[in-house]
This record gives sequence, C-alpha cells and structure tokens, in this order.
Amino acid sequence: MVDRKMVLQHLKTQWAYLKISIKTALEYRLNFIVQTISMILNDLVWMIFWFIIFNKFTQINGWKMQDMILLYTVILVAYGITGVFFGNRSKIAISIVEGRLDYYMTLPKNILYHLLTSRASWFSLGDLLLGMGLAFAFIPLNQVPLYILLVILSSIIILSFSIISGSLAFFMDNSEETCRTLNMGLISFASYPISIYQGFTRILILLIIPAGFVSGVPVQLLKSFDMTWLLYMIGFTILLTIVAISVFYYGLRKYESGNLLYVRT
Amino acid sequence: MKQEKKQDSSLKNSDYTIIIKDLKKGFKIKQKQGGFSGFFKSMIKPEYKEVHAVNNISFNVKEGELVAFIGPNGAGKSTTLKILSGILYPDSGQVSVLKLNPQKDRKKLAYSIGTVFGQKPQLWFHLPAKESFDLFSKIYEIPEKEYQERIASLIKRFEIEDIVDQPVRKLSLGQRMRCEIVLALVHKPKILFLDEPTIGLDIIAKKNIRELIKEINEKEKVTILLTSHDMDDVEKICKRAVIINKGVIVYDGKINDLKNNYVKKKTIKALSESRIKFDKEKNVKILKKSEFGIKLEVDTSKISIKDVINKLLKNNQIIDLTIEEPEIEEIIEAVYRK
Amino acid sequence: MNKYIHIARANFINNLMYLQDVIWSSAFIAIIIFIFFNLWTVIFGSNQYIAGFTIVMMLWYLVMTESIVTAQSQVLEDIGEEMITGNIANYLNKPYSYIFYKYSYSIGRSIIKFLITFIMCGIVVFLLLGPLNINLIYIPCILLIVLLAMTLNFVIMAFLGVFAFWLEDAKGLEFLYSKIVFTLGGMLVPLDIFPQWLHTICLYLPFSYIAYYPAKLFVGFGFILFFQILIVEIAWIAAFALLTALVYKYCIRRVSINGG
Repeated sequence: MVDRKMVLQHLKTQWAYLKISIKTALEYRLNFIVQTISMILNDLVWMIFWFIIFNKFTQINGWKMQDMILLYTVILVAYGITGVFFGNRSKIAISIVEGRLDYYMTLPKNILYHLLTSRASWFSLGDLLLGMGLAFAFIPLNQVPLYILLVILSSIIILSFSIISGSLAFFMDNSEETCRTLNMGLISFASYPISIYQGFTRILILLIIPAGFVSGVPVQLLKSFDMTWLLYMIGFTILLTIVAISVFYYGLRKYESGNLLYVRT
Repeated sequence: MKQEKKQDSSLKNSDYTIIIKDLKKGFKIKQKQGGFSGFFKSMIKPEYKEVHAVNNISFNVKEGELVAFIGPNGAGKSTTLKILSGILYPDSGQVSVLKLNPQKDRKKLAYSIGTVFGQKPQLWFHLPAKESFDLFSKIYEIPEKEYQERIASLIKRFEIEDIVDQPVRKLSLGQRMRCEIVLALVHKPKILFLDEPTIGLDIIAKKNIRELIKEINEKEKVTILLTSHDMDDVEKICKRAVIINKGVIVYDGKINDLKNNYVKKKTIKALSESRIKFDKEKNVKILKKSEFGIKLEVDTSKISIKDVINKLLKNNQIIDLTIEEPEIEEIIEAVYRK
Repeated sequence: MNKYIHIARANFINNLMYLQDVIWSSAFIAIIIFIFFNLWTVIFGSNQYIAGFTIVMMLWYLVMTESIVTAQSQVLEDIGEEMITGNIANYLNKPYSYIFYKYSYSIGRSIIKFLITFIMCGIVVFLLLGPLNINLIYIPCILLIVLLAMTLNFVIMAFLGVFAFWLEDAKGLEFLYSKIVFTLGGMLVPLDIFPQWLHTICLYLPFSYIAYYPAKLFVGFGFILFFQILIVEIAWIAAFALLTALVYKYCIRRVSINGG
C-alpha cells in the first residue's frame, strides 16, 4: 500500500515538473521552437548522410540502410525520453560541484529521482518526435511491444551511464569534462552501424561504453529475434542500474561527510 | 553504543525543538603544494589539513524562538545549519530536530523544515512565483484544498497579489525575497532557516521583510534560526543571539544583555549655543570637538552617564543632546575578540 | 592594426590556460576518429582506393577537417548574446572595428585549439595507420589555407550572429550551422563520396572551403589547387565580411530609430 502511494506521489511530482518545464519553454516560445526544429533538422541531416553512404557502398558488413533506420528509431526515442523526462541527467556533475545537491537534499523526496527529473531538455523533444514518427512508419505492428521494451531498456542504460559518469564528481576533481566526454562518447558510438566494430572494440562497446546495448543489440533483436540476447540485454540493464544507484549513493555519503576534494561554501 | 541510545531517548523526551549537544565536525582540506614537484606530490601522496569547522558546540532552541545565529565567515554557521537539515553528517555529538535525527530521518524532517537562502534562490526564475508555489505543493504532498487556502492567506499576508503572476525575473529584489519566504512557508514548516534574507535589499524592503518574519513567528509559532551579517536584522528581529566563532560558541543569550555586558560604552553628542566647554575627565574620551559641538565616549562601567550629562549641562547652554548606544558590530567584534 | 595584433597575442597567451578544456574536446574528437577508423576499415575492405583516397588519406583528411571545425570560435553565441542584452549598441558605431576586435579576440584561441586537436588526433591516426605521405615543404601553404578557412568560418558565424538576435536563440542556430558544415562542408566524408550533382552544388557553397578543400589539399597537395583555393577563400571571406558589415549598419539604423 505504501509503495503504491509513493509511486503515485512521484508521478504527481514528475508531472508537476514537466508542466513547469513546458511553461518555461513556452515563455521563450521562439527559442523553444528553434531548438526543437534544429534538432529535427540535425537528425534528418544525419539520415541523409547515411542515405548517401549506403547509396554509394550498399552495405557495411551486413548492415544496410534499413538497419540504420531501425537504429534511429531506437536511439532517437530512447534519447528523447531520457532528455524530456530526465533532462537533468547531463547536469549531475555540475550540480554536485556547485553544491546544488543541497537543494535536492532539503526536499522530502528521493534525491536521485529528483535530481534527474527536475529539468527537461527540449532539444530532445525534436529527437523524440522524429523518432516516434520513424517508428510509426517503419516498425511493423507485431513488433511494437518488443520495440517499446527495447526502447525502455535502452533509456535505462543511457540514464544509468549518465548517473555513473556524473557521480565521478563525488570522487574526482575536474570531473565535468570527463563526464561530458563519456556521455558524448556513448551517443557517438551508438550512432554508427554496430557492424563496424570488430574484436576488442566490440567488447568495449558492449561492456564499458555500452553503445552496443543502447542501439546495436535492440536493432539486432528487431531484425531477428533471439531470446538469449534479449535476456542478456535485460540482465545488463539491471546490472548497470544497480551499479549506477550504488555508485551515486556511495558518493552521496561522501558528500554528506563533507570530505570532498574541494570545499563547498 | 548503549550509552548513546540512552541519551537519544532523553533527547526525545525533552521539550526543545532543536537540541545540539557536543557537536563536532571537521573537514580535511587538501593542501595545495607549490611548485612543479608539489603538483605531482599532491597526486600521489596528498597532504591534508584538518579544519575544525564545528568544534564542540551545544545549544538548544525552544519552539517558537527567534534566534540569531551570528558569526564571521567560516565560523561554522553554514556547517551547523547543514547538519541540522541532515545534509552533512557530524563527526560526533548529538543533534535532534523536532525529536528526529536529521541524519536518519532527513526526508521525514524535510516536511517540517523550510529554508530561505538569500544567495541561492529556489524560485523558478523564468516563471511566475505562483508556478513555484504549485510545484512545491506537489513536492510536499499538500492536499489541494488545504494548499489553496494556505497560499491565499500567505499571498494576502505578504501582499504579493499583484506580483505572483509575473515572471520572477521581472520582480525587484525585495519582491523576490517576499516570494522566496512564501515559498518556504507553503508547507507550514515548524522550523525556518533563514540565511541572509535581507541581503542586497534597500532600507524599506528590509523593514518590510523583518516585520513579516516577526509576524510569521508570532502567528504561527514557527521556530526561526536567522543568520545574517546585517546587525540591524539581528537587533530588530531576534531576542536571542548565538554567536559562533572559529567553530566555538562564544555567546548564547539575550541580545539586550549582549549590549549591556559586553561593551560598556555610550556615545554622547552635544551641541551648545555658545562655545562648548568640557574639561578633561577620566573615563571619558573626547572623540570630536568643534567650536559648538562635542562627541564623547563614556566608559559606563567607570562613570555613570548621568554624571557626564550633568557636567555638560552645568557648564553649557546645551541645545541638543543625543545618547547613542554602541553599534552592534562593535559589540559582536568585542565578543569575537574574547 | 597593432592594437589587434596585440589583442590576438594577449589572448593567445591567456588561452593557454584553457588547455585542459581543449584537451578534453580533442579527446572527444579522437573518439570520433576511432569510430571512423572502424567505419572506413570495413568499407575499404580489400580496396585500396575509394574516390581517389586511400584509407590513410581518408583518416588524415578527417583529422584535418575536425581540427579546423572544432577550432571554431564562439562568435555566433557571443554576438547573439550581445544583441539580446543590447550591449552591442555600444560597439556598432564602427562595425568593421567591431568585427576586427572580435576576430583578433578569437583567432588566437582558434589557433591553439586547432594545433592541440591536430596533434592529439594526429597521434591517434599515426598509431592506427601510420604517417601521411607528405612533403614538409608544403606545410606553410597548408597552414595559410587553414588560417583562411578558420577566418571564413568566423566571418560566416559573425554574419549569422544577427539572425540569432531575431530568432532569440544562438544555440540552435550554431548547432544547425555546424551540421551544415559537417555535411555540405565535407567534414565527415570528402565531397567526392557524394553523388555527382550534390558534389557540384557543394563546391559552389562557401562551406566546402572551411573543411573539404583545406583537408583535400593536405592529403593531396598541388600548387595549382593551392592557388585556386587561396583565391576563392579570400573572395568568400571578403564577401561575407562585407555582408556582415552591411547588415550591422542596417541594424544600427534600426536600433537608433527604435531607441534600443
């Protein structure tokens, strides 16, 4: 009973934050529209780019243009969701360094959840809209449940990775740049056909910078379903989430003891 | 372990809202080592300096008290407040706020505490204050009807009807501050931590805020802990002052007593019709003397102010006379020096 | 003139402080290079040439384009912001000197960024594929072209800065512009890969002179090509500089009419 109430409360708060983010965006209407359109155009530019490449080279290690489109349906929606609902994920490091975490800690809510949801990145709305449009056009009806599951798992992986890289701020100096490079690295690796990664690189992008699980494995599963790999993906997601939460709260304890490498006023 | 538990329960039974006992909190600050070799050394074997931010302090606050928490920068004020809010863990000692342990029950305690940081606004900058109020009502899980009544009463009391629907960025500092305090009061907290609430405000706005704070304290019995560098704030709002310096409490008592006990000096300014006459007097220092005026500093522990005034009146046709109490800054400084 | 050289020099030294930021952004570029190394290895397969490029040339091409583009200044954002805050009114009396001032301010920073990114990413490519076959005599010519490319990039961004004001947004515009350079400027892949009609169109656009031509010259130097690029780059720079000055003059007139 308690749990259900708590979830409901969190959703109410989430909705309140979303409303307030939307209202902020509408305050600067033009800016908001320009950013959303820019993002959509950016994504289209990339799709044109891949169209040109696949036009010239037909296939890249078995990967064709259709696969690229599938990749985009997954990655755009996954990043879109994390951006709109958990838009503060890229600001974790800064929040820690600037002592803004104190604000979250004085509120009667779960700190990590609050930290993640208190901002919406409207750049991501463009991604979300375009991705959903692509999915509507290209994902066959019978695959929709699988698609939704994969997108959710992918979003969780993206989030967990952001939490881990953001939490570096608890442990090291000058972490903001490292954190940003890691997050950008993830999206970069995930935006290219997974078939180009061979050997040791493949292991890297599966386990260390999990681009493989963010985009590669979902596309693979949508192309030809394989229970084993689905289980791998679920398992990896759960594992990474546990690591992320543990790292964050371990760092938080350190923050609360006040013994960070630098003094906050 | 057992002893701690015993003390814990005794704290629970007490009547105080805030209890701080033997609180200690230290930080290890990494020392920057100079020079090229120092740069590498600090990476392999860093040197730390131990800073005792809070070094064994104890004080209690009753429900509804208005306490000024004063100290120079780095004295340990923010550290103490953070420990009270549950943001920092103490090294040793006991803290009890509303019979809760801030460390263990931070979330629960959060429902009963409100904070206003003069330098770290909590209102959403681009939106009307009303939006922030609504958001907070959701965060603090206030039932809708209760919230509507509460916010209507607060808006009226703080006289912000005309500005709650304007984006905060368009408001003046004084208006913003009023909204910030309302924000902190939305969830009817039992304790309010005010940190520099009047910073940057003009005199009228300051007066306004001070009155509102006093009113809230009186009407709702909200316990208020105020930190401020503005001594007028301190004097005009609070009755009790806790002064902390270098992590130690150097004074805990009434502000009036502070004035009477610490700096036994008063200043007399007198203006005479004709040339002013005042002979040298022991325990009286002449600060300024002009043809018709004089400013004296009287050591009231050695000589009564009445005698000095009588002397002035006897030898001069005094047309104007003012007696000034010492500035509270002087008093505080005197306390620090001790 | 001396004033501007002085400002450039002062900022060059000042910006050595921002070394750390630059190193991190070049670390990110190195990741991109690594990804493209994977991509091209698979695409080339057993072929030695694609569109006249070897895989070694292809990756060194990328190093050059990335270094130039990443060195781009923040002038679009700066101008956009100055317009929004209204500060720009102070400077607009002399639009040429305003532009020069901004240029001397940012070119020092761009040069550092270019050099560091190029060196770091060059090392990565060197480790992956080895050195580029190039005669060192050509370096000064290439550097001149690179400097002009960065200047052209600057001038276009300065021109776009005006639109940032009208659209109330600099970030989105800057983002969009960089994407245009990415694709139409031939940053990610040489324009030779594009279908012929697209290739031709891009050659007539100024963007190809920011990334494609300097990099192409770098991996396959030729004096005729060098002079061709030189002339066209200078022409584009002059064109955009003039355009920007005109637009700013127009803006001042409007500002003084409306009172800011």
